[in-house]
Amino acid sequence: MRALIALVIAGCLVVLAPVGGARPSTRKRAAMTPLSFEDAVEKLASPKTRSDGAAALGAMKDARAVFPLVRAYERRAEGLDVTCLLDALHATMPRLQPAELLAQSKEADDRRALFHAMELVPEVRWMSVLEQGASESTGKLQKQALRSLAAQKQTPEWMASMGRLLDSSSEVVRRQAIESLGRRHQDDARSLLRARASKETDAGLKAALEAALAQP
Amino acid sequence: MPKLDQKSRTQAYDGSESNGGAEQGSPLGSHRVTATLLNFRREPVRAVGNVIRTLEHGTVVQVLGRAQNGFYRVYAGDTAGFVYGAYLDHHAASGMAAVNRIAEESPRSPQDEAPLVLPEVVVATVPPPTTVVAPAKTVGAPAVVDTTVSRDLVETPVPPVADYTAWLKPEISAIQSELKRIGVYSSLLDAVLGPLTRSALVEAFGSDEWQRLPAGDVLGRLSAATPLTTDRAHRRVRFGELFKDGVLDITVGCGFAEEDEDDAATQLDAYTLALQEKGFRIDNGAATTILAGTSHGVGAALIGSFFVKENAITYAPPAGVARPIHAVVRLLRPTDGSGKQVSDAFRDGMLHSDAAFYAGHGRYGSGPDFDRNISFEVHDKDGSWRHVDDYEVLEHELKVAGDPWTVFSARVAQGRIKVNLSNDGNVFLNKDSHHSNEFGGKLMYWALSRTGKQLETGKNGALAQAGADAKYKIWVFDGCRTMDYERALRDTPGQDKAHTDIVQTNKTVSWTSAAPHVVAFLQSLIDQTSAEHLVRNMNTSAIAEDAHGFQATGFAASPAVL
Repeated sequence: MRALIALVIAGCLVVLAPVGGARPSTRKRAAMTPLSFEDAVEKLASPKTRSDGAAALGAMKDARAVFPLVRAYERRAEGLDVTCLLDALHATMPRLQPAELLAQSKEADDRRALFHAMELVPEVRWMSVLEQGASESTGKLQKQALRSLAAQKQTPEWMASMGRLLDSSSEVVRRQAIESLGRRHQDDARSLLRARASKETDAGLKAALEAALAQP
Repeated sequence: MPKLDQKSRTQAYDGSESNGGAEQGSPLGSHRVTATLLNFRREPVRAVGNVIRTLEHGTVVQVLGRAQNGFYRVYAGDTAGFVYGAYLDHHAASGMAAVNRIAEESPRSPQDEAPLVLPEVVVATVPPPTTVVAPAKTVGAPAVVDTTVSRDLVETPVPPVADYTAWLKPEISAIQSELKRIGVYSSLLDAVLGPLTRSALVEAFGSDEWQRLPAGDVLGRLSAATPLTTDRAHRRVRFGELFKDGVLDITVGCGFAEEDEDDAATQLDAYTLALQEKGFRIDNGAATTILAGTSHGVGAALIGSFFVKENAITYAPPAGVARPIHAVVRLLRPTDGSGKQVSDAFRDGMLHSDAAFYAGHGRYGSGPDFDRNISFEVHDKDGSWRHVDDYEVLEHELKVAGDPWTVFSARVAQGRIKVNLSNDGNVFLNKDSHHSNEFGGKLMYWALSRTGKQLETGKNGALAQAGADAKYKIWVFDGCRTMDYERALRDTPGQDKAHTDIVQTNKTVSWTSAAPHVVAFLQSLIDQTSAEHLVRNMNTSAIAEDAHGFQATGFAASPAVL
């Protein structure tokens, strides 16, 4: 009987030993194998794997990564950490040229996602692209371009851009410029608003200008 | 005035259902309304929600022909509709006789001897009914749709025919036994007409009709009823309470999404498409008319899109009369600056609709929200200012300098971060933060505190309903971790498990599933499924990562099984 038990235990050990030994080496191999672009994007779909996907995409410095990263960000839910997605965008965006990014934006929703990325990672370099987007597009694309413009650093370039947008033929654009300058609470913004108030013909926008100028 | 002859009257009962059952042919002339107030209906059927408006005594209508059930197709002004013929002046001299004559022409059956079925809103001086409908014999069987022709006059509520408070203990005990037999009562046979027994009677009769019947009649109707199935693992939604007024009325509120403000428009398209596929149409006018027949109408302000489906449901309670139920879905979504209006309308829906469905951010357990809460003006190291709409972008930046909340608090104190706050769109449910370890959770509660937002729950909250105001309803909270709301809701008068069933989430969920969730919920009510099936249908309608996110509380207090 004892011999039988010993034989069974020995058999189990023989069976288990290679399995137990194989696990670490499989993991190591998986960790060492770099993800393809497509595999990394696929990992963004699940909250459980998206940090792996985001990290891989961030390391690639590939302009195409901007679009899946932004879309994953837009699918976010409360309590799920978006740090990995923002980290990856910060790793990707600064190394890319606006022209390169635009070349990747073939579809309208790609351009919208690109403008959203420019809101999430503000840079002075985006100003001309965003101003063009705000002036020449409509609908969702224009709204995102305006929102992204509002989120840029308020540098002299930004002030100049806002000054041009204040004179836009589009009421939507002028309204956003008034709102953005009104939030600045600085003399340079006030003087632009005052200049516009003297020539604004739309009653609603005139009221918005007066309200912005009345703020302390 | 032209008189309606006997031949024409007979033809009405043989007439087809086309054109609302109205007889085709030349108009029969002008007639006056003889009742104090007479319902002017869209269809020749007495059902709540079918009323276009009421016509005052003396109003002249043009009779176009007879319809079924004693109704006449008429023009009132430039609107076509139906009125009950007994209250037009050709019957004025002999109203009762005329009604009786019409009654004699209608086909009769042995069921006519069954007890009288009274409508919910009834009237004083009215003739007796001419058609009586027997209780449904099988569950879900569309027995006989109530087209009783009597009592189409609206004045004041009639005093009860029989006083149910005078029922004797042996009668109550026998009634409880029957309620138990048919599967709508699972409590003690204690001969006490308490809340559970009364609730079971509503589920058995599908209305408060039992309150006006003698105990013997109630017992008779219950004895004739076929039991519901006895799968006691499944709890029943209280359809008797939901459908009492002839309308299933659902308010859907789409919350604000700062990460993608345009998403609200996309969501609206998704809801519209999904509801249209289910046979609903956008019709604010029809919704106003239908909801006028309910206890609360369209609410304080006519905002949002109303989707309507007439006769969406045939409801056949076990001991009551089968009848059609209209469905109205009000869709609320925030637009620029409308947060307060939308949150007010949603709160109204929570209190007065049969069901309120919130699809949006859980706001870290604080409650539904219909506007942007917070944005920031950030002073950077290089001296420039920057506007930040998205608090998670700010958190990401602050993390570089240390614990984000500590850094945030310090910079606000130093004036390096200015905060723009608005909590007008919040329906603030829960004063206790369940996520104070998260930056967003801290920020949400800090903002609510800074703006002095009033709590809606608790005994002094706007959601408190006392006594008769507390109606049965279902609330669905389709947002991240909305189970955080429950304790505060349950501590609010009128929102205990006896009055309010809640479907909530136990995890984070995605926006993309909101429209399928709404449709699964709505279809489950239309199909009159059990509570378990309702939750299962919602869970399986979602994308994979949202599956099994919903759970329900309160349905266990329901007296019925399915």
